[in-house]
Amino acid sequence: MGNVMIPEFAQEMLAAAENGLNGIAIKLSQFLEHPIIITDPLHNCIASSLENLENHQTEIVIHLHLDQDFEQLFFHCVLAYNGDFKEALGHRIIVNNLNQGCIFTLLESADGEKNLMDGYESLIHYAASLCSLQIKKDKEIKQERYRFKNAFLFDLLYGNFKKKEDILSYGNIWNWNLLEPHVVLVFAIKDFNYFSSDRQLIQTLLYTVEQGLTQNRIEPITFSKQNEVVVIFPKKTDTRNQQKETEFITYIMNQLKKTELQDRVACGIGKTYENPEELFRSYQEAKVAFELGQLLEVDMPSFANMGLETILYKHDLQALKEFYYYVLGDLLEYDENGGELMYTLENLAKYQFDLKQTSEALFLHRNTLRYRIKKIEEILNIKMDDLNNRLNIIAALKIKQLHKL
Amino acid sequence: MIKQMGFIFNADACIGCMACEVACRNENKTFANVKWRRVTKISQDSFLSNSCNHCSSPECFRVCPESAFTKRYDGIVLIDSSLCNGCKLCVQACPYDAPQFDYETNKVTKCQMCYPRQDQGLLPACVEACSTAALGLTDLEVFMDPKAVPAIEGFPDIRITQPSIAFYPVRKKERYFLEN
Amino acid sequence: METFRNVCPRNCYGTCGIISHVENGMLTKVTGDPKHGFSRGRLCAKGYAYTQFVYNSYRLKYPIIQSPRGSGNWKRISWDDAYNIIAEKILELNDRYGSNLALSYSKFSGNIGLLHFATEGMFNSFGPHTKPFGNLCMGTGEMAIKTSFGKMASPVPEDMAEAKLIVIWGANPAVTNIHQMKFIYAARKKGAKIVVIDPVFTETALKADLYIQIKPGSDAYLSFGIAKLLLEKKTPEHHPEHLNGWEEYKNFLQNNVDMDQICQKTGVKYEYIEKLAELYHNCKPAATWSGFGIQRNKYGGESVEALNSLAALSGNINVVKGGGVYFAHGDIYDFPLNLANFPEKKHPSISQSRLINISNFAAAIRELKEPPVKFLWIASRSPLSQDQNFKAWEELFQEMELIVTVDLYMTNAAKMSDIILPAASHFEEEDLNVGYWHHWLAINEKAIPPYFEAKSDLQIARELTKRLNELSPGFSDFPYDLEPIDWIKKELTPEIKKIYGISSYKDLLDGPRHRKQIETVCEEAFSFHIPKKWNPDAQDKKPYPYRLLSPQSLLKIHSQFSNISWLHPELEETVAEISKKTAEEKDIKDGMKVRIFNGHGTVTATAKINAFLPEDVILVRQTAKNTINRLITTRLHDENNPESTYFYDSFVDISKKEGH
Repeated sequence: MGNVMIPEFAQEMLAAAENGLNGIAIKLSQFLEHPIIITDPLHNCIASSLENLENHQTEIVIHLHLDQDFEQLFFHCVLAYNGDFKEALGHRIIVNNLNQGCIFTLLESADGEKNLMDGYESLIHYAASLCSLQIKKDKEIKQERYRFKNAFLFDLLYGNFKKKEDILSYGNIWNWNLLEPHVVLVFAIKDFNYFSSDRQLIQTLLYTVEQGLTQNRIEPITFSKQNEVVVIFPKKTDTRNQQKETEFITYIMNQLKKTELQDRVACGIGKTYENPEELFRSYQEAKVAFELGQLLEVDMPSFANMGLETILYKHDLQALKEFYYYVLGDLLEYDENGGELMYTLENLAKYQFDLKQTSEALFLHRNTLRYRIKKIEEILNIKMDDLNNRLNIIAALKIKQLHKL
Repeated sequence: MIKQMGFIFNADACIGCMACEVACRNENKTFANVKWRRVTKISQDSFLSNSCNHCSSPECFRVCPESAFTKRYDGIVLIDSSLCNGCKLCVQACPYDAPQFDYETNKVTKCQMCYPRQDQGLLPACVEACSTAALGLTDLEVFMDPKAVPAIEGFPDIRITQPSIAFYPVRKKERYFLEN
Repeated sequence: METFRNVCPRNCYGTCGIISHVENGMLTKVTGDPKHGFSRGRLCAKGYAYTQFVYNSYRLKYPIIQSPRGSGNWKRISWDDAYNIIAEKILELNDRYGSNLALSYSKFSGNIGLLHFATEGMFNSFGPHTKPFGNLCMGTGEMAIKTSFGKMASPVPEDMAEAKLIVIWGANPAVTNIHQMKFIYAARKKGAKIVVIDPVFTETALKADLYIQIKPGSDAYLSFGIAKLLLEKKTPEHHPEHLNGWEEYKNFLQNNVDMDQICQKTGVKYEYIEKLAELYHNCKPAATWSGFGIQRNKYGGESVEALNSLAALSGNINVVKGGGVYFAHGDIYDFPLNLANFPEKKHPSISQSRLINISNFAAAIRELKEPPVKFLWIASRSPLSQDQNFKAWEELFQEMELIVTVDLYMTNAAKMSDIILPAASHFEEEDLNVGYWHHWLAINEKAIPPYFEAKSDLQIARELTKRLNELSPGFSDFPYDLEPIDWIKKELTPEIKKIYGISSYKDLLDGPRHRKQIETVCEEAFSFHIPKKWNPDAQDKKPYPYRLLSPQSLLKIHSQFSNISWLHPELEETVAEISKKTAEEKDIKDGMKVRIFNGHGTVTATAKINAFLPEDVILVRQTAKNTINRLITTRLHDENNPESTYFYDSFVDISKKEGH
C-alpha cells in the first residue's frame, strides 16, 4: 500500500451518518449545493435537507423521463410534491439486492445542470451506500425490538409471567403502564384456512388495527398470531363502561370494509383486569367470546356480558343434550308433524316472554299467541308464568343454539 | 422467534398399532391411568392418535385457578405440577382429555411434546416411534398444505381451543364384502 | 447411562434391533436401533413396553416347586435342589428303561435366538430321546414353497417398496408386521395398488386400495380363477411356456376351472376376479404375499402352491425388485446351528431319537409305548395357551412323572408343571438372531444382570448337564465349559462371515448386517402346480355351524406380553366377534357373555358384533388365560410330513350364557 488518502468529503459524510438519513441528506446537500430528498420504496419521503419536508413522510410522485429507466442506478426524473414540480437526479438505494428507496438531488432547471452533476456521481453513489447501511441498521434494530416485544406479549398473554414486577418492568421499556386496568380485544378472521394463503391477510388486519389505535391516540399494544390480532386496550376510568372499546371496534370494522378482508373479521372482548398477571385470562375470554359471538350471531360479543352461555358451552355435551330433551323433548316430538310451536317458544323467550312484542314480531294476533302458549303448556305440562320454568326454557334454547341441536 | 409446534396426523396412514402410545410411556414413564397419548378408533375408517394439542387458545389456561400452565415460545403448553391443586377444572375444560389426573399424586400432568428431546434436536418419542409416518411434527406458524384439514370425523370440536394439529383425511377405498 | 444392542427374539416378522438404555444395571428405556435397515429405529408397542416386561411383579424370580401338581402350592427352592430333583429323575428313568427315550421336551418359538437351541442341544447330548419335529406355524407353507421353487426363499421385504402391485393374501401386517407397512406405503406413494384378500376385514384391509373378502380357505380357488382370466389375456413380453408343468397347468385352467364354480366357492363376484386379473396383467412387478393365514387349514399347501403358480404365470418370479412371492425365508439354515444340530450321543442299541410331529405332539406322545414318555421339559412356549388338543395335553400331563417348565411368567402350562425354572429375558443374556422375513443378522448383548435368579436356556443346559455328569459321569457330552460368546463365534463360520460381509462378531456390535447375496428363486427350478384332487363341488363337512378363526392380538403374542399394564391396563377378556346375522339369530347383544362350544369343550367369552365378519365365522383372538384354543383339535393328513397345525379348520357353535 502506498500513501492512500481518504478524501475529506468521505470522512465528513461518514461522520454525518451518525445523525441518520437526515444527517446524510443535509451533508450531501452542503457538498452539492442542491437540496436532497431520500425516499422509501413506496416513495414516501423519509429524510430531506429541505426544512419543509423533513420527517413529514410526504408522498412524492416520480415522473421518469422517457429515456430513463428505474433499473438504472442513476436516472433523471421530475418529482412532484406539495404541489411543486422539480427536476431531479435519482439514485437507487440497494439493500441486500432489493430496492429500498432512492436518493434524489433536486436540480434548478433541466438540461444545463445535468452535465454539472457528472463530476459528483461518485459522491452521490457513496452517499447512497451510506444510506443503504443506515437503512439496514434501522431495520435490524426494529426487528430486534419487534421480536423482543412479541416475546413479551406472548408471555403476558399466555400467563407465563408469575411475578407482577417482571411484567411492569418489561412494560416500562415501551412506556406501557400496565398498572392501569386493561381489557383484551381479539380480532380474528372467520373461516380461516390455517394451512393456506389466508395467512397473508393477517398483516392487513394488524396494520389496520395499529393505524386505528394511533388515530385514536392509543398506544398500540398489539400481537398477531395465526388468524388473530390481539389488542391490549387501556381502560383509564370506569372499568365497567364498555363504550370506548365498542367505539374502537366499530371504527376498525368500518376501516376493514375498505380492505380485502371486508367482513371476514369478527371480534371478541375479554373482561377487564386491573392486575396484569390476569391479562392472559382476558385474552382467553376474548377468544371464547369471539367463538360464542359467531355461534350466537352477536356483533360485539363480550365475555362479561355472556352469563349462561359460557357455562353451557363448556358443560358436558351429553348432560346438556339430556337436559334439552328433558325440557323440550315433548315439544320437538309434537312439532315433527309440521307444527311450529318451537319457533313460537323461541321468539317468546327472545322477547322476554312479553306477549305484545312477541305477537308483533311474529305477526300474530295476541289471542293466537295465547292459544299457542296454552298448547305449549299442555304439551310440556308446565306453567309458563313460573320463573323456574322460564329459566329452564331459556337454558334449553341456549343449548340448542350453542350446540346446533 | 415465536413458533407453534404442532402435530400432523395422517389418518390415511395410521394403522392403530399403538407404538406411539407406548413409546410415550417408555420415554416419560407414565403409569396406570395417566396416558399422555392415546390411540383410539374414532370412526369406521379411522384411528386417532391424540395427546395434548398445545392449543393456540388453551382452555386449561383460562380455567386454572393456580396459573399453573405456561406456553413456551415454540407453542408447547406446560403445566407446573407443583402448582397444581388437583381441582381438575382443566380436566373438564379440555375437549381432548389431555390433562391427566394422577390419583397417586393428586395432581395433573400432561404431554409436554417431549420438549427436553426437542431442545436437543430430537423428535418427540411418539413421532419417532411412528413407523408409517402417520404422526409428524411441524411449526404450524409456517406450515402450509392445501391438502391438510383442521379436523377429521370423530375429532372433538376444535372451536375455542384451536388445537395445534393438522390432519390428512382418509382417502376413499374400494371394498368387496361377501354377500352370503 | 450405557447403551447396548439387543434384538427382539419374539416369533414375529420384525426381529427388530433394540438399543437398550441402562443406568446402574437397570434397563430404563428401550429405543429402536437406527442401524437396523428393516425396523429403522422403531419398535412396536410391545417392544416399547420391554422395561415392564423385564421388571414386572408377575415375573418369576426363583426356581419353584409345587405339590401336588396344579395345586398352586408353590415353594421356593434353590437352583441346586432343582437340578438335583431333575437330574435324579432323568437318571432314574434312564435306569428304568435303559435309554432316555422316556424323556421328551416341548419347545417352540418363545425366543427364536440361535442360542435358545441349547434345549435341543442338551437333549441331544443325552443320546436318543423323544424329539419333536416340524413347525406348528408355517410348516405347510414352507413345504409348498419348496415344492414350487425347489428351495425356501423369500425376497427382500424392503424391496416391496418397488412393486407396482402388492397382493396380500391372508396376512395382516398392520397388526403382525407393522414395520412392513412403511414399505407398502412407499410403493403406494410411487403409484402401486395395494390389494388385501382376506375373510376378515383386517386393519390392513382397512388401508388397502382394494379389499376383497373371500370365504375362508378358498384362496387356491380364487388364484385359479384369476389365472384362467389371465391366461386369456396375452402378455406379449412374457412366456411361461418354457416353465415346468406348463402344459398341465394350462390344460387344467382351460378345461377344469369353471368361473361359476370359482365364484361360488370363493364367494367373490366375477367382476372382482376380473379386476384382480386385470391388476396382475397390467402391473409389473407384482408382489404376492402368502400370509400364514392361508395355510392354517388342510388346503393350506394347495393355496400357497396355487399362488406361486399365479405369480409365475403373471411373470413375477424372475428376480426384479418388488416382484416375487413373499412368505418367509430359510436364512437360518445357512448357519451350522451347532446347538440344534448338536450330535446325538451314541447309544449302544438305539440308533436315533423317536421323532414326534410337533403339530400333534400331545396325542402322539401318549400313544408311545416301550418306553412311554415320563419326563417332559417345556421351554419357550405355553402349549395350554397356544397349542391344540388340550384334552390330550391334560391327559399327558397326568401321565408324566416330572414336568419342568422354563419360563419368565406363570403361564397356563407352567401352572400344571412340577418345577418352574425362571428364564432370563433377552436383555439378560447373549444371543445371535436372524429373522425369517427380513435378511438382517444381529447380535444380542447382555445389557443387564439377570432378574433375581433367572437364567438363560443355555445356562440351564450347561448347569444341568454338569450336574448330571457329576452324578453319573459321562451321561452327557454337552460342552458346558463353552460360554455364550463361544457358541456365537461357532455360528459365524467363514461361510457365514462371507454371506454377511463381516470378519468377526465384533462387527455386529456396530450394528446389524444385511445379507450380501439373497437366496433367490429361478424359473428353471420352478414347477407349476395343479391340485391333486379337484372337486370344487365337494362341501366340507361342518360338524358345527361356525368356522373359528383365532388370529393374534395386536398387543400380545399368544400369552406373551399379557401381564404388561402399559399394554393391558384391564383384566384380560376373551372376546368373540360374531356377525350381525349370528347376533340376531342367537339373540346376542354387544358385550353379552356367550358360550362358544364344540365337542372339545366350552369357552366363555364376551360378544362383540363385527359388521364385516362373514356370517359363518366366529373370530376369537389369541389370549393368555382363557384361550379359545381349547376348542381346537385337528389332525394332520400325514403325520410324517412337517405340516403346520390346521388351526382354522375348527368349527364351533355359540349361545348366550345362562342368566342373559
